[in-house]
Amino acid sequence: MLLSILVNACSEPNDTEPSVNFLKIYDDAHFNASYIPIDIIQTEDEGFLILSGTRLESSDFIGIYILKVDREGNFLNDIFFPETIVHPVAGWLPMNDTYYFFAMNATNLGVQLFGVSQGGNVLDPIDINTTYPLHASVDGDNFLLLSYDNNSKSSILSVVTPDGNIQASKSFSIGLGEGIEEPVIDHFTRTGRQFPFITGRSGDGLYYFNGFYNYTFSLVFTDLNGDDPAGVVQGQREEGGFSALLPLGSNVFFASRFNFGDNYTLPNTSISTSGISSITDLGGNPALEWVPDAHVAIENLTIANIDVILYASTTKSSQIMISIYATDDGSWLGTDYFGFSTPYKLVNLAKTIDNGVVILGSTAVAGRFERICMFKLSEENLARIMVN
Amino acid sequence: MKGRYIIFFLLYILIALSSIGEVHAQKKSKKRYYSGNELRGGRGQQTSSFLSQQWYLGLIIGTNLTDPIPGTRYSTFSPIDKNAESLYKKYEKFNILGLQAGLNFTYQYRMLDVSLQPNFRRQSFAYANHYEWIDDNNAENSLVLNYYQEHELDYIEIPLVVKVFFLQGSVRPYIGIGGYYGWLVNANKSINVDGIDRASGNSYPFNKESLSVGATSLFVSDNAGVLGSVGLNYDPGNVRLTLDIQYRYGLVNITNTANRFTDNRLAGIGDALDDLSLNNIAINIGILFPLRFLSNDFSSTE
Repeated sequence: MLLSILVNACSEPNDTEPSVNFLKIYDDAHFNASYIPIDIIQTEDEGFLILSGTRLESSDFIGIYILKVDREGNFLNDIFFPETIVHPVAGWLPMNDTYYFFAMNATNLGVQLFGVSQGGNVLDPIDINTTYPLHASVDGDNFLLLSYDNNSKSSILSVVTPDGNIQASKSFSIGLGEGIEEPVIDHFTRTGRQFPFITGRSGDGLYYFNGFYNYTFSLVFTDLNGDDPAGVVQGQREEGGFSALLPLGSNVFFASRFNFGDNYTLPNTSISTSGISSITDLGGNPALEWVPDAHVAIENLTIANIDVILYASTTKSSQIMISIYATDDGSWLGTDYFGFSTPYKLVNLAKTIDNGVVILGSTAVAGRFERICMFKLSEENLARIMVN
Repeated sequence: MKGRYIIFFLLYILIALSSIGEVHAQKKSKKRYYSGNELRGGRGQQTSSFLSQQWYLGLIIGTNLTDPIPGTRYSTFSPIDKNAESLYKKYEKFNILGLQAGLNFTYQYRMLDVSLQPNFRRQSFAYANHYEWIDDNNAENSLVLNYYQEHELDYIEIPLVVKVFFLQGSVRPYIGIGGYYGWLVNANKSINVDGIDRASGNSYPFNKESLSVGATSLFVSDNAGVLGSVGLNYDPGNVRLTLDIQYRYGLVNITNTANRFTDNRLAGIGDALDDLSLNNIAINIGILFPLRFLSNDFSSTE
């Protein structure tokens, strides 16, 4: 016993809690099971809720699957939604101790708002008077919802209350003509490109959405009053546009863009919120490691007392890559890669209570089974990336 | 860094024991006298006093087998449709030979030996995982994968053993107890994969090429434990031959808890090291040379 005490006293500390950093892959022994993760959020019990899609044999749309895991990432329980409810939209919308998300009724294509309580119970859905949900975000005490109306061929940006009432709304035509909505429908059925639809509010108070407008995948600014947008940053039809946006203040954003397969990071860049401009004029740092038209997630946090912005994406070698930039001047601070010998794809990022970050991704277990994975990184892990 | 304190502590014990022996011998020798090289007055007692202690330096070499003892279990896979215990690794006990070689510094005082044995040793252990995916609608669609992972850990180690002898004479059996402290210098792991992929229309087992990766960062840099030993010394002349069997009980979790997931290159196939200590059986043979009284007049044996 004395020797044991002596050994422990002399050994290097080796007592890192399993919740500090981990990788978890949520495997399912069913051969045909396939999961499409969408978003993750840490709950008050320090566990995590994962919003995911799952492939359905009876529908072109994806079904809804919610996974609850503990603070160490271990599976606790899950919920498979009925196949009448499909197409969960990014992402989790935390409000009043409830985690909301929008989805679609498979029969009438109407939007529905779902809530999940802290205890993991799904609340009764609320019908929203619009169709084809594309993206949603929290805007103060309300939600900002981007949806698509295939009758008027319009992108619709709405302010929705937690009760399901639409407080304000504006529609923006995507254009007229044969096949103009094909990319949008392909996005819903996952038979085509998955577009980075985004909603939010800029530092100068304007609402924005990243979506289809006037024949082009564009970033549209609006005050939801005037019929015309306050400003538009035009992409390249459906071949170019913003892939991620994080507003900092005024018209300053951390952003990334795609352009005919190429990718660019735009750390700390000014974007015109008025008039019409072209995204190609913004330039940016070429992100040559990323897969063509990469899906990108951006998150801000403070690491070792330094305000930083994290960019995450998927590399051509099927790793998840994180790059860290200083918030104040956009200077690059470090990069790291996650994954070896097994392919990983980035889905989303989320901050954690311990000032770390959790990366939600998908992987192919045994090279063939689509499964949800999550990397939890501590602040120390992230600080080490910056040192390097 | 802290490991150095262990070394200093062990050396201090060795030197202290040596000093006690020297003082004891000198006290006894003051009652005797001698002229020139010839002992007078009780040569037998003088010789006995002198030969009651001895220093030895020699070489040891041997082989070992390891028994990995898992504590808390971990895996990167978290199954959503079955119990997590179904993914527990199956450890193999004492199944892979390791090797060790080093020096042996021994101080002998009467029927007691204190032995410091710095050595390089390789300890190996293995475990297996089994995974299975089945199509509920068509049982012919199934995939079975078996992963077999071997680990090689190389340590520079300093055991300190106190041995008590039962008999006098040229063959002397003993039992001993002690402890050891080691520094990890390198670690590797290799994986072999086999299985049956019926979904691809093949019902025959396949075997993929093995993959080896560095794994040093997956383990902590130090290891320590206690040991018990039995063996015998054979002194045919001015040399000592030893046969030593040790059972070593690990006191340290050798898994680096900070790097369990982040630095594991095989994490994608579900691998994460459990909390783990290593028990070990080692067999050593050695040859030791006495460092005192080497002359034609004396033998290393009493």
